[in-house]
Amino acid sequence: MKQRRAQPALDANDPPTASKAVLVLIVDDFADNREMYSQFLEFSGFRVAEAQNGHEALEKAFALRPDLIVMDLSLPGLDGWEATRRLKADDRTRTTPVIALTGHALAGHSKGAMDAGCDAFITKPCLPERLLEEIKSMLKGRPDSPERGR
Amino acid sequence: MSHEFRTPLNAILGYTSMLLKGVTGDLTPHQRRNLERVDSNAHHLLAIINDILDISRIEAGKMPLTVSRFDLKDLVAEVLAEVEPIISRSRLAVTSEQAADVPPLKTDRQKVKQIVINFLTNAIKFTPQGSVAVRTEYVATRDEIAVVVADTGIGISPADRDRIFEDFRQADNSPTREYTGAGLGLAICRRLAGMLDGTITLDSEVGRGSTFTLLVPREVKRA
Repeated sequence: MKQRRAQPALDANDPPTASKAVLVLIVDDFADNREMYSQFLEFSGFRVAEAQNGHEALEKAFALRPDLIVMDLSLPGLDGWEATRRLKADDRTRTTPVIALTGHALAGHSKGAMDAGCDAFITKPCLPERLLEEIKSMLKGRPDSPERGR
Repeated sequence: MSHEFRTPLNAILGYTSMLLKGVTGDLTPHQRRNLERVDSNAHHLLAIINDILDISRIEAGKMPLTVSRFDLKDLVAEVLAEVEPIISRSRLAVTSEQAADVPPLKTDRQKVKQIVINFLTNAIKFTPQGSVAVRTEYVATRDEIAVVVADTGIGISPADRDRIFEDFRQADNSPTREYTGAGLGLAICRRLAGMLDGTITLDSEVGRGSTFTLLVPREVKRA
């Protein structure tokens, strides 16, 4: 894996332990963007897994059971819409929030993403801190994930 | 096409932002200053690309018209509130005067708003001192509404009056020009007004100021 620096972002009352931190699965075929979000989320105290296409996304989602999935929609092979539909149709991942991310600002893209079961939709360019905000707000209401990963 | 522009820009903006946030360690003041320039230029490029994408969507007939019923008064108040940070930085007297008889509109609110924001930010940008006034009127005979933005700024010469509605145009298009911007704002406004069956007119005198007027049917006919 890549070299990453230790995570300083958690406060003293909430020491980072690998088992406790929220796990986010980032799905994007463009490595530069995928690793950018990974770096920033790890810096912010999350655990991160990555997938490069829809098939890998499904495999990792079922195996690792992430707390949240960030899904680029335009993926080679199995695209983000179809991957999300399958995630939402499977009992193991049905309740896992999916944030769709796309470079297309067209209205159809957002509607298609919501129809596929995505819980939120963000248009690129999306700064890492914006994604972090969205992830925090998605996880907020969940009883099993109280204010973790700050 | 938009995807091809946005994906690499996403990486440029994102990595720059992370460096500035110290994700990969502390920066020297010099590094920070240079990175801030990368960041502000990348944001400028993004603004230009967004404008170009807007124009190409309108030209391709892919910009949807979303018609709703709304009050012009609320819209102007909303615009003033959004532009407030720019207004207070400018130290200009910005006033608004709304005719009481303007009936509710039935047209694309977002597009009217985008045009008014553009008028107002342009007026502030090109007015070194004095005032900017926003006025609304109802032209009952033609069932049209007018939004007028008048400033006491640098003004626009007769020769430049048509050109500033062209793509990538400012009155001063030289590389050393004083005012930044892609010069796409009015080009977009002209197209948006066209989508609403409206027009934009300009009245100006060099050194005295400019008055931009948006005239649109109270009710848009299409869609």
